[in-house]
Amino acid sequence: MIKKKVITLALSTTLLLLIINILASNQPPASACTIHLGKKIKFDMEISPKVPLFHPDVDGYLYPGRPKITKYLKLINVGDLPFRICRFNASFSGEIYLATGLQIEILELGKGRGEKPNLLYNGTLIDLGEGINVYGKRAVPPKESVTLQISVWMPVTAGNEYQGLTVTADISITVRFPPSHDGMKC
Amino acid sequence: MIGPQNEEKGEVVRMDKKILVSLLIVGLVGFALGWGTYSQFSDTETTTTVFTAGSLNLKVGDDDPVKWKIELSELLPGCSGSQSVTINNTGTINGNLSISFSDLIDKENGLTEPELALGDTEPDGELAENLYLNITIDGTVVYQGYASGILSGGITNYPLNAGVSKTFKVEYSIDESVGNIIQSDVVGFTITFVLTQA
Amino acid sequence: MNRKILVGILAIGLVALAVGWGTYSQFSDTETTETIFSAGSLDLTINDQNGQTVTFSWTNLRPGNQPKYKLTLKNIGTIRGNLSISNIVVVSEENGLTEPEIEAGDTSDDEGELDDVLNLRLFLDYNGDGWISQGDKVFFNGLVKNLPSTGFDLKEPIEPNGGVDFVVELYDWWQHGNVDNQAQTHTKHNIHIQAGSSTIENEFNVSAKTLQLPILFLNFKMGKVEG
Repeated sequence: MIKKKVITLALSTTLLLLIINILASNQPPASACTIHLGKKIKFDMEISPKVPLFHPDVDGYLYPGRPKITKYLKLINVGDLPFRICRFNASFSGEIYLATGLQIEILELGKGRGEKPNLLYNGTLIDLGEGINVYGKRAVPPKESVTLQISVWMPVTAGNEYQGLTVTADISITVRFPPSHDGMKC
Repeated sequence: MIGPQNEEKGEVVRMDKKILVSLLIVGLVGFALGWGTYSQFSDTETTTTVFTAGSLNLKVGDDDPVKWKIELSELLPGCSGSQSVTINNTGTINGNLSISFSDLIDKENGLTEPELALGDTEPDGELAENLYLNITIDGTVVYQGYASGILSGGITNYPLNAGVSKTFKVEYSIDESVGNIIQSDVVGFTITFVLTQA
Repeated sequence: MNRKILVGILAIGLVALAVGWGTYSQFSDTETTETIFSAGSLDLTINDQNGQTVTFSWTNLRPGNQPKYKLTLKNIGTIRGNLSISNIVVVSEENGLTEPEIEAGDTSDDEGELDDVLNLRLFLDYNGDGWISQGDKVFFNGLVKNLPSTGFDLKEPIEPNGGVDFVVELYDWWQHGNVDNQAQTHTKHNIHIQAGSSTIENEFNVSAKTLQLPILFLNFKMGKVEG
């Protein structure tokens, strides 16, 4: 009798997971995956602030050796499933050459005060254009957020060829579910 | 004996079989569906960033690169005058200006008869040691003295903020008491302006 | 000691390596400009000669004629100058005395008397015709002996590559009787000097012995234009 019950439970769970899988695999990855499964589970992240993160009107001009400009970007879990940061990408417009002369550092800040930040990326801005897979340390539960500390600077080795150039870099951050550590890409 | 016990047993066996078969089917189907595509959810958000590099642009006079120069001739004992030019940081970041002098030439440029009468000889001229210069930028002294000593003159780290312009002035004079010895002599030098980020 | 030196050299090498490692640059902009100052020149030539003094002398002076000597002055410098005559030295010598001279009372052997009788006109001949005409500037008209030793501050501007003719003209014997006779040295003459009158009937004939005429040293000076 007990055996039967156990087997039935196992069977139903497996079936449920299978159905979820099937349904999910039929959905294309979208910016707001909303899967209605009777319970209306959705997977959604939002960033804050929504205004340009860096702008010369606010930050002034970059020049070799000028101290880093640091900004903070919050990734908020407005969905029902936890997420982990998995990828950065960038697309450029304007005088793209300037991106070769700028360094960018992205840190994932810890939850509490004592938690050490996790370095996700430190390299030239132009290389972000290739897309970088990263492994975010935190699995961010629903209704919580993780903050990225982003710093940009022009190294002292930058020469006169960068003078006066302007570049716009749209930096993309991708988060994924499930947040398990399995070495998988986004 | 076959009876209700046997029937129960038969039922259990049948049930077990059914369950096993179902599980097998589920497993096979699941396996088939899951092979190769492990699906997951992802979401991407984009933030816009705009960066502008500053510039330091030094403009001496009206042209860039500079065309302004000093070319004075027919100088006489007792003469004096000045030549000025505006120096401008037309860039977007603050800079430090340095001014230096080089390539001093002090030529005899031929000997007129009055010079010969004084015993003047080639190749060195006498104008450099008789041409007095007062070179300033917005009043700050860059060099004060005879042209012969100009290589020791100059300034460094003179602030020239973005958008700011200053007047660079060269005042010159030759004392009245100087005589024929300077006739036809020529003095020249190069002025180098460098603007670096502050 | 050797080790210390080696370590020292190594340390310097490492420092140099560290300093030179990589390139350090800042934004910068450089401009260079040239300056040239040229002095002018003033150079006076007399008859295209460029010596400090030019001397000239006359011979064949005779009462009645009006010899002229023209000097062409040029400014071969690059600035305008003011012409002046800075220094005049008159030297007159006698070549021995002649009989009429002895008769007229000239006993001196040292000085001639020509400068007492010779009348000079000095003028700037702007139109170059050799005569005093309108526009020319006469700046001396008198006896040689009255030539001022300090010269003449003419302040006549002469442009670069410009010039003017400077004319020395003997003009009118000053007729003073005996003085005329005293002013000659001659081996033979036909001069008849009458007391009280001063008639010069014949010309001097300067022959075998050349009359040493007053030799005029004129030092020309040219200074810059004032103002």
